[in-house]
Amino acid sequence: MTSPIRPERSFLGDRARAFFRRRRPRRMGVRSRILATFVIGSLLLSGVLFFLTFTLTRSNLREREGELGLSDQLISETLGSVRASLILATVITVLVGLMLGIVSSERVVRPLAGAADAARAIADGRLDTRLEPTDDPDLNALTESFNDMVARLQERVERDARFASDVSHELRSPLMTLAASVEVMVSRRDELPERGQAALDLLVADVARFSGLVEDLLEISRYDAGAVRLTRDDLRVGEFVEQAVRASTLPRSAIHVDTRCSEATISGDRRRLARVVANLIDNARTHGDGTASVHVTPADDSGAHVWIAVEDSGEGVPTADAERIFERFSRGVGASKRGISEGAGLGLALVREHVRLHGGRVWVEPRHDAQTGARFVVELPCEALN
Amino acid sequence: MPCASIPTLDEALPWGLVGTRVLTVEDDERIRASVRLALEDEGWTVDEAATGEDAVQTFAANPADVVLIDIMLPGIDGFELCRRIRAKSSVPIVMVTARSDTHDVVAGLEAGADDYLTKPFAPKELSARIRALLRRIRPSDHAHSTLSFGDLVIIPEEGRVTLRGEEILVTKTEFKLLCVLAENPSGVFSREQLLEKVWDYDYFGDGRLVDVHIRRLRMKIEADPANPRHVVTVRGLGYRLQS
Repeated sequence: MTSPIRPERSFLGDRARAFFRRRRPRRMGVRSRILATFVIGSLLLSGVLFFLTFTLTRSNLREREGELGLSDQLISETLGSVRASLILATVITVLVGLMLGIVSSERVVRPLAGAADAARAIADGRLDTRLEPTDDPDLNALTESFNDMVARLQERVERDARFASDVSHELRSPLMTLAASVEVMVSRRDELPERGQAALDLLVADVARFSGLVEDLLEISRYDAGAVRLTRDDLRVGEFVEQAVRASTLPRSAIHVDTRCSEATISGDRRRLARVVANLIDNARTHGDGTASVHVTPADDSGAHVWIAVEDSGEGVPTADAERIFERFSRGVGASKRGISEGAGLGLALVREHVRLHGGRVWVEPRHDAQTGARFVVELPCEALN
Repeated sequence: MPCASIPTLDEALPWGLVGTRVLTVEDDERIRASVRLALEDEGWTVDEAATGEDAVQTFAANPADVVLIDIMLPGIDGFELCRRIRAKSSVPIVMVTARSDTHDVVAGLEAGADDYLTKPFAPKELSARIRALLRRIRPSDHAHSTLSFGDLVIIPEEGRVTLRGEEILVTKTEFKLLCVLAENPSGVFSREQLLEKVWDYDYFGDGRLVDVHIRRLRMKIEADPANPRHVVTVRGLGYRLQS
């Protein structure tokens, strides 16, 4: 535990403070402190008792030496046995102090460990985590304020997530009307004058983009709300990638499936993994020269993971941006030159969420074959890789 | 009504569907109007209802060939409306859900819907779905007027199914599913194959459609739906129809 610095309140000089700080053990936990208190306390107590008992016995004996006719030898023997039993008593006291110290420090620390576990669980997104109420009035204050804090945090997080979700939901009804009406107009495109046709084409393109954006926003707000449920199927990698590419915006992209992977299966959500491939291909299309090639290879010799890599022939992604481009609404470096006509900026963020939920990971690297371009690799757990 | 006759697949598209009557149940007036325009462009007649109660009345007065139901309805909700229509008719029902990955889809299918769409959908998608549902299965072998699987008898020409001599009421989609399974009595059909043959879906169709319909079918034709004898699951491969 690091203590806050309080320079004004110390009456010691800077150098003295530095000296003590240096001398003090760096990391002294609550547990060690309690233990040390108990041990030092019992040592002091038994030391005082030792001193008092021993000196009183000795002076008593010396005073009445003549009166009782005690020999020097008898006195030193008596004092010796008194000393021995006092030493034994000291040792026992210290040991008992040590044990009591261990027991009570455990008792003090246990609720702290519970609170730490709870805090970790909350940080991992399990917002419904709460501390068990205790009958200890001292701890109850902590427990109650902790639970209160988490409840407010949960409320806040859920409200934010719900807001994005509510907005997207509300957008869907007008979008539905727009999409249907635009389609009716498209089937009458020939009846429109030239300028009307140009306007209609713009409308069609942007209704599609708007629709894609709302869909992506909804999906990502589901992730924020922790409400994503995968519908898993056993997918044969080769077949799946082929189908996903054929359904993408560059259906004629080259696909290379390593023979070792052709029989491998992924347990995955068909629709979401298809979105992963589609979004990576969209990304290659807009940031490269309009082509993409897809490679399916085993991740390593163990056969537990498969790589689905999408390569483009664009300028590549600088190492500094390799993490950033997976963030929401972050546009790659190349995109700013090309304007922002394409993509909603959620494509790669969704790729990362989808892949993560499947127990995999995604990253971008330079192409392996010495040509310029980016290579986006999705690593997924798989079965039956030969 | 075009569906009264038995058009083959070729006849059904596209002329066979002219005059098709679609009932749209949707509380949002603008969506209803735009969907109507789009469906009328297909040459279909469109009835509209804003609430479940309205829909029940409209359907009773003018039975439609397809019903489109938004699940989020004021008053009786889409699920209940599905059940009410299903209790009286085997008409194909397409439901509209807000999300595809919730329990809504399965609940809707179990309430009797034949297919679903997620908002916002393109009218083209809707008309493709409607076409797929109205399309008839051409029996693979015209020589057989009845197909028997033990006590289960399918009469494709008449669209009837009997179990131990008693007629079983199945929906059009359930009937199609049975016919496809009956095409190859010893063969196993994967979910993907059934999705393609019955619903006209590609590789990315939703396998739950097959699962729920199989479940519904079992409730009707199996003595013990938990231990099916006719429609059996072949683990990892799909489904098979046997006697």
